[in-house]
Amino acid sequence: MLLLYLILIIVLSAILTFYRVIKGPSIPDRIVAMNSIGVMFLLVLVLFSYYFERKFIIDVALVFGVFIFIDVLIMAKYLKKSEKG
Amino acid sequence: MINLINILMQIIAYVFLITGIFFVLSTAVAMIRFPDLYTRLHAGSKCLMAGSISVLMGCLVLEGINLNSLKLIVIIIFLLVTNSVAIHVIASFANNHKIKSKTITKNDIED
Amino acid sequence: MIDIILYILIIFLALTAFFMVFTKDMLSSIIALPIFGSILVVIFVILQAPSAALAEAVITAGLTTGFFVITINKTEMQND
Repeated sequence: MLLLYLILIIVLSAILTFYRVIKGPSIPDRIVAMNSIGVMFLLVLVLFSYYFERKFIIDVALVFGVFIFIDVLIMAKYLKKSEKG
Repeated sequence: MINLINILMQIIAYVFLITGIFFVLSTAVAMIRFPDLYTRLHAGSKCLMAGSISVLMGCLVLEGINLNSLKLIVIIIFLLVTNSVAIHVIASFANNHKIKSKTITKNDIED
Repeated sequence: MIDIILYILIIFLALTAFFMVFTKDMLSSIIALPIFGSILVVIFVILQAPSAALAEAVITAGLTTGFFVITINKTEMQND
């Protein structure tokens, strides 16, 4: 039961971080906030794996971390031309 | 005796979890309050990694020695390698676009 | 208690979708797309469907975002 309160605090901190995605002045601010939200939801997945007693969710968390990393790399490589300034 | 060791492991695991969640919450506060891009990069790299590794260590103590704990160790090593590379790539991307920091000290002024 | 987390995540999903639709810049809209995917992964895990969550993590949070970013890179921005 304590585990659910910890998950609730992580979800609320993800919502607080989403403020920086809305009001970032530049593109790298938004990418940093997106990376932080991705890692926070990875922690939520690992904690849900212990709450539901289903260990398959750890595999989902591992695959999810790999793809968040690939997203950041692709954004930093291909968004170079089209930023305004 | 075994019951006492079990309770002690639970207490250690929850101390790890609460410490990690404090660091994650302070990352969220830092994303709002910090004035500049580069300070936000610092918060998103170090503070978030301290929190997430501490939470995963708590889950590792809660699990014991198992096949699933090996996956948790893989996630810890993967995050240690990956997030550093991602933050470095974002900092290089910001440096190519000439984004300057707001808090400039005397040594940074070159022209 | 699990209901409260589910409702908060659904409200967060709607907030992300409204931000993606109503923002001016197209790049901000693309950056909000992996957040949408990750919230949807957690909702699928809460609703007891981890296989659908695995497929969602591969498709929405990974491949669709990469394709959109590469496609936007090949267009030109029109400054009026």
